[in-house]
Amino acid sequence: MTHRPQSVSFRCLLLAVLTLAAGNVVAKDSAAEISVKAAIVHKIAKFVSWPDSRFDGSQQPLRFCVLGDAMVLQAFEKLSDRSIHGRPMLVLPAPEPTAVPSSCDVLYLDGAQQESADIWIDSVTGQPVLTFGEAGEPGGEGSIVTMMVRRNKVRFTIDLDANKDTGLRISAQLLQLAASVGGSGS
Amino acid sequence: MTCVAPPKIRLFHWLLTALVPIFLSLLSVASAQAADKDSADLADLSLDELLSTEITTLSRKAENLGSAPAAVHVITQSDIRRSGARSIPELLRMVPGMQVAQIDGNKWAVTSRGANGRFANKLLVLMDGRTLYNPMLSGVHWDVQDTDIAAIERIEVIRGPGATMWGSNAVNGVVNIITKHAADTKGGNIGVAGGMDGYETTVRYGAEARDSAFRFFGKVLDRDGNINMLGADTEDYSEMLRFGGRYDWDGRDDSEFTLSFETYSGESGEYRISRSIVPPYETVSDTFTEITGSFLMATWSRDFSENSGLQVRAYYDTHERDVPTYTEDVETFDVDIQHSFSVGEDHSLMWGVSYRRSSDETTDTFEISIVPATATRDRISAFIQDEISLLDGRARLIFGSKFEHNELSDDDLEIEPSVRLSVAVAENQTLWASVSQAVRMPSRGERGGRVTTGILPPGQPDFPLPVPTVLLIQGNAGMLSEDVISFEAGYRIRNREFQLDAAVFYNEFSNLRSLALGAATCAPSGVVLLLDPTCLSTSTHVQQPLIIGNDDKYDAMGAELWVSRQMSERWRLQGGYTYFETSSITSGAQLDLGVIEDSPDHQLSLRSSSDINDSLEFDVMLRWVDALEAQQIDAYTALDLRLAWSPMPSLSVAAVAKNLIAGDHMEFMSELVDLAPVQVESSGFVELRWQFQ
Repeated sequence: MTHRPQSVSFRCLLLAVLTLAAGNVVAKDSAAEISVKAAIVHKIAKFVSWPDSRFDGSQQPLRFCVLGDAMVLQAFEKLSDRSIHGRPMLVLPAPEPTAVPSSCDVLYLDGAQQESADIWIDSVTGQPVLTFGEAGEPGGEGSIVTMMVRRNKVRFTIDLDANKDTGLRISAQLLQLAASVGGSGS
Repeated sequence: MTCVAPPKIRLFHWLLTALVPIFLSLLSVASAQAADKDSADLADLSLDELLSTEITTLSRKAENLGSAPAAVHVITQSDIRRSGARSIPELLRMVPGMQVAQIDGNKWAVTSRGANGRFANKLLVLMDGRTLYNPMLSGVHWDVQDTDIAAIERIEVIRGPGATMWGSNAVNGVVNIITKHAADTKGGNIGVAGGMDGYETTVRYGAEARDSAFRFFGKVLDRDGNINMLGADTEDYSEMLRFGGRYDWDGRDDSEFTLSFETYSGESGEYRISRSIVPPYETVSDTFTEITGSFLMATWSRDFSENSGLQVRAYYDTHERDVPTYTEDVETFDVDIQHSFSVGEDHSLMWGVSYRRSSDETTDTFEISIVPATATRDRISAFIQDEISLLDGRARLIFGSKFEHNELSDDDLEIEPSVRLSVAVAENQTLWASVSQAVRMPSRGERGGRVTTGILPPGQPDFPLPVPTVLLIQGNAGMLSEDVISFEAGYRIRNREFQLDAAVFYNEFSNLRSLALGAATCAPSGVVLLLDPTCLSTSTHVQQPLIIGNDDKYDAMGAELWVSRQMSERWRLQGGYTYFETSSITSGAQLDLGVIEDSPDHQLSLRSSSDINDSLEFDVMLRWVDALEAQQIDAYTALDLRLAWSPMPSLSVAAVAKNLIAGDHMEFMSELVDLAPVQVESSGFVELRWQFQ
């Protein structure tokens, strides 16, 4: 995963350029992984129902808030012409944690985040926001859906405890496809 | 009987050769996307498919099956769950081009592209890479091939000669049943099904630690038999106790290790025709086979770099079948190595070597015997394959060959080459074609077996002998492999809501198993009847052998179509059609069996899967199978239904009905004429599944 360096020196820049030129394979392999994950997040959202009270009317978009770098955001933006439950999909960079419950319906926490993702998870406890995190990274603990790459394939697990009192209904078909389902939920 | 190729087949040949220039001209016109698939391209796949998509590190795409240059079909976890199937052959019914017929309560005739039979010998079936193909009578004993069905990750079916990796006996297809990684089956899971025809229970528990995971399962099954042609109950029941487990370890250095095992014991009932040389000569009665077996398998693999890897696998498999007329005890030990690496940006090479030793012990009776009674055979095989990426990743060319040396091939080296090409002709559309050669090794039974297949009482009107005549199929120690050259082509569309898979094939078979009338002899003296008819006065019976040879040839052709459409977000329809035809047989042998009528000309299926709401699923499968006239089996239409309700996340309850509409009907008769005809009955059952922790 790429990181945005805080300060750029000439050597860092040169190194970055050389890496991009020679290590093409590495950059593309990340792209393939994030593309698969974004596609899976989009599909998973189709198996979840939000409470009716969440939306005014059937045309209000389903908002995907993405906490990640430009490549991650782009992977989701490529899907934004598709609809979910008849609603258009809107992809936005994640706002401040306090604004998430009112501005987001789905929150994707990319594994490369340096900031502690606890703050984001805490902000949506009990709120109808479908959270996605990555196993072993900040954000993996406490998300409703945790994703991981195992043997070159993407897998996901569902934590029903994290979904407690959120009002989100997860379809039985999705539970069948999860690698494992934890917690008991409400 | 001379064989003049019917005009239809010549046209077919022409069509295939015409496809090549059409292909080539399309290549220049094609403006397909570069092979890098982004999320928008992937979003067309179903969730099942996305979870199976490999994240490759080669500069190309996250590969999916869309570009495979073969007639591939994958049965996904959702397909498995929603079908309500309780056995592996039932699951295979969902694949276009597969011919699946139930013989009785525990036996099946399963193949693809013709030559079906109780011991259909042209389909290779594997579970996690371990062969389920039995070397004795060549074929699969479906009554013992079972596992925890809910722990199957997916089943990959390739119709046509298998990719060079799988090799001999994969003449008409390969089925690979892939079970889930232990980390995907964590927690406890109990499935209980019970209904009109018996019950079954599977209990499984799995857990995961830091780098490793394991699971254990136990399964008990008791299923009733069906009915005979007169409506009376038959004892073709199935009773089985099975226990197994799997352990997976994922090392941090991209290495993986898997250990799996299973052991089973049970009984398969059968409604059998027994023969003897004293009156009443032929009797039909209920008997049973005792079956036991187990296997232990270890697989280790390591990715050295993004583009290369090594896999080593070894397994030991044993099974025993005990019938009143015959006993066999088979042990197999197999070890194989596979290495893949890339050369440059466009070549992906793979090669492998495998060694297998099978040994068996049989005990024989009047009805079935194998000579020699005990044997051990070694087989060494190797394969090499190069997959070349052409046209910026828009085309894939795979060529390779398998080489095999087997004691049954008389020191010849069997070579099975194949060439496959697929081209992305437009976005989401692929055209593919292939030519391959494959062989089917002779079985122990074909080389040294004697199987009684009929008995004529004395005093027949045109054959008035004072003693009965026993018809028996006699093996031939010199029997060679059967060969096929297969030409295939196909077209595939994968869109958001619509998928289509079409394939056509033309197979030229040669050196096929044939039967020739041998010299009738008096028994027990062994004197040839024609030379000295007086031997009849001192004999108990006459033996009329039908000797196995390699003198038959025929051509087979067909087409397979599968279509899937997402009608709405919660409703999907799938349809399949299979067409199959053979030319008449050219036989160098004296006994001309006429046109092979063991696979229906047409098969049609329709499947509807709908999610009525978040906790209710409803699936319907309707299938129509054409008649098998030579077996006097009528066409039938069967309906399967499943309604499943999930009142809470950890629990699901399903009601399933199978074989409705057709009612009691016969689907297939064993080609050895050892089993009396049985009609498959409709059935219904309820299944509960509880996942905890």
